Amino acid sequence: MKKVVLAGNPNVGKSVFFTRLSGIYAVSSNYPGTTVEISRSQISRDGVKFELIDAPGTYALEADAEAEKIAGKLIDEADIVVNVIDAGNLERNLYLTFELLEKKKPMVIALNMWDEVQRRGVRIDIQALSHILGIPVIPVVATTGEGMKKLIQTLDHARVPIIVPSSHQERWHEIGQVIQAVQSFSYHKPTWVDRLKEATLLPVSGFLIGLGVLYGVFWVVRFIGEGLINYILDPLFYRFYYPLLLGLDRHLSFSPFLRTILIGHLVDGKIDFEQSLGLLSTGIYVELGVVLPYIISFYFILGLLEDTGYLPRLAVLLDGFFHRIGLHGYAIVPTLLGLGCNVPGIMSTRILESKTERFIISVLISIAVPCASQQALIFGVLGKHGTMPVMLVYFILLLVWIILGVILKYAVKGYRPALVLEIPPYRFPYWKTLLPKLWLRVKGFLKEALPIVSLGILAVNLLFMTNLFPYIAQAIGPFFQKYLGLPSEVSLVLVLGFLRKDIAMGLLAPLQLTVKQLVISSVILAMFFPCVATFMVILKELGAKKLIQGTIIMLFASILTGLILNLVL
Amino acid sequence: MVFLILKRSIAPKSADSNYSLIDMLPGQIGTITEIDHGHGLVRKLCSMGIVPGKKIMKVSQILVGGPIVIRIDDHDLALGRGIASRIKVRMEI
Repeated sequence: MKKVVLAGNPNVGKSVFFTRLSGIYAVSSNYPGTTVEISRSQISRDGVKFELIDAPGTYALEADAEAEKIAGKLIDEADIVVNVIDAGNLERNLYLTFELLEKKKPMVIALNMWDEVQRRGVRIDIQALSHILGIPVIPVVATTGEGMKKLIQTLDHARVPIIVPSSHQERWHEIGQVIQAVQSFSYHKPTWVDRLKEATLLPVSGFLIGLGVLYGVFWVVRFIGEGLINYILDPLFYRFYYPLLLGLDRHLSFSPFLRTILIGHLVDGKIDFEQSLGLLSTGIYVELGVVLPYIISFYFILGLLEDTGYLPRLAVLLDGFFHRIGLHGYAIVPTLLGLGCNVPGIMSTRILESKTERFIISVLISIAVPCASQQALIFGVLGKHGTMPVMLVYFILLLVWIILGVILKYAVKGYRPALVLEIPPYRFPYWKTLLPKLWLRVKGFLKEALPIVSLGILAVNLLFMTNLFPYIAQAIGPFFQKYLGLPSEVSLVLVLGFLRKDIAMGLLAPLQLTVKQLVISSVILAMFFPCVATFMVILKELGAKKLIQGTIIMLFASILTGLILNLVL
Repeated sequence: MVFLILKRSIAPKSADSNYSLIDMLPGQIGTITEIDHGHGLVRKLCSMGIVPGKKIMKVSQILVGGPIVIRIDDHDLALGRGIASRIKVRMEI
């Protein structure tokens, strides 16, 4: 079977191309570097089978970055190379093309985004290009499938080109000549749309637009998430699932143990989706009724941001500021998403390049970025004492975020790459890539997180059954009284807050605490590891070692902050 | 800040090539003359089309030590300040 490798610069649409040819979805976005894993698939045409391989995007073959090495290796093993080129960026793309030509493999060029080029008034003489390079050149539009059939037919005509190796300088000279021969522009005056696009990258207007977009993202993610909960999931759970559980509960009366594990404890004689702690009650509800709706809305918005091409611009705008705390601009997205729910926030640290950055930002999110339910707690507990105490808590958390960020910058060693980022043109999101991406991500979340969260719920349930939880609370209670100025009951609330912040809020309210005590306990509750789900996500994304390190930092930071607040306030 | 503004207002307009991307004003066009950096990065920039002799336009310079955005053949690239200061240009008046 012949191996066909898709090679090209980052963000030229190789993955969309792959999805088109194979029918197997490969994640694609409108920014460079989306493909980090290699996708393979078999395609057949007229009874002949090919193995299609989607290689990571690369600017050159001889460079020493990981993605480039992988791409180079795949090309060495290839029988046919399909060089996918962004037609709107012909000159730069040709550098890699020339390197590929030197590999002496049968080659075909797919001139992708052909529609975009024609809209922009760029003319490319395809026949001349094919003649100069000595290989077939096929214009295609991968998103719509235009020209793809012809490309597959052309695989048989892939030819080994004849070329003399040359140095960098000579190569750019050759490319210049090729471009002069085949490409012509018809310039158009910048329209107001062009100016608006440019404004997103200018210092002042860019920041203002960025603020607006971030506010909008935050609002829409919560709007869709809460909408899903209030109008679809909660009604489903309470109207259909609840009676089902009640029926099951009756059938399980023969085994109290099984009943506790599956259904959990009854609260006021009823099954409580948030507090019963059964695998089928709390386990299913927290996962599908609380986290899933935010996952869906978050990934939908993220997909939109990715496909339009705004995300890299936001990253560029914030790079200077984030650099000061040891991160680069891509870290703003996880942080903002953490404000909704820490789980997707930490999951989205996948867009960060280095492990060090992922660790720093995950710790910062889980400690100093309050999630939606934590914020509900802050407002719920302190709101009746006025706006000032609420703002004080936010201010303290912001301070913690900055100080902790600076400390981690110096404490955690690791590779922090210098910024060289290609900014993709704005594109209109295309639903045929947007929706499959959303589905793939939601499916991935369900497959990966469901068992883990269930396990967490089971563990907490067992801790309760063996009376270990109240015991822990009693053991640390005196410490709370002495150093943090909080009554010992609060320690139990904090331990419970590990599960769900809203449970903790309900318990904190009847304790008759002073405003100072409320501020301290809200801050500690917010800084304490958010909830079981976040804990598990960190374990899954970063591993046990990092989770333990993060937990130590969390314990240390929250107690230290509590001590200081008790002295200062 | 005042210093910054002062420095900008006397931004060089000569054809001297001893200026980097940092010294250019947004909207200004120039030609890359030299990349004063180690081999690895030069190669990377080269593969992305940033080579001596290339005409570029500076689009923007992000505040608080942020990156420089340049336009090269109708597409935009962001470069960290460290790298940008080592890319020498001859500015057009």
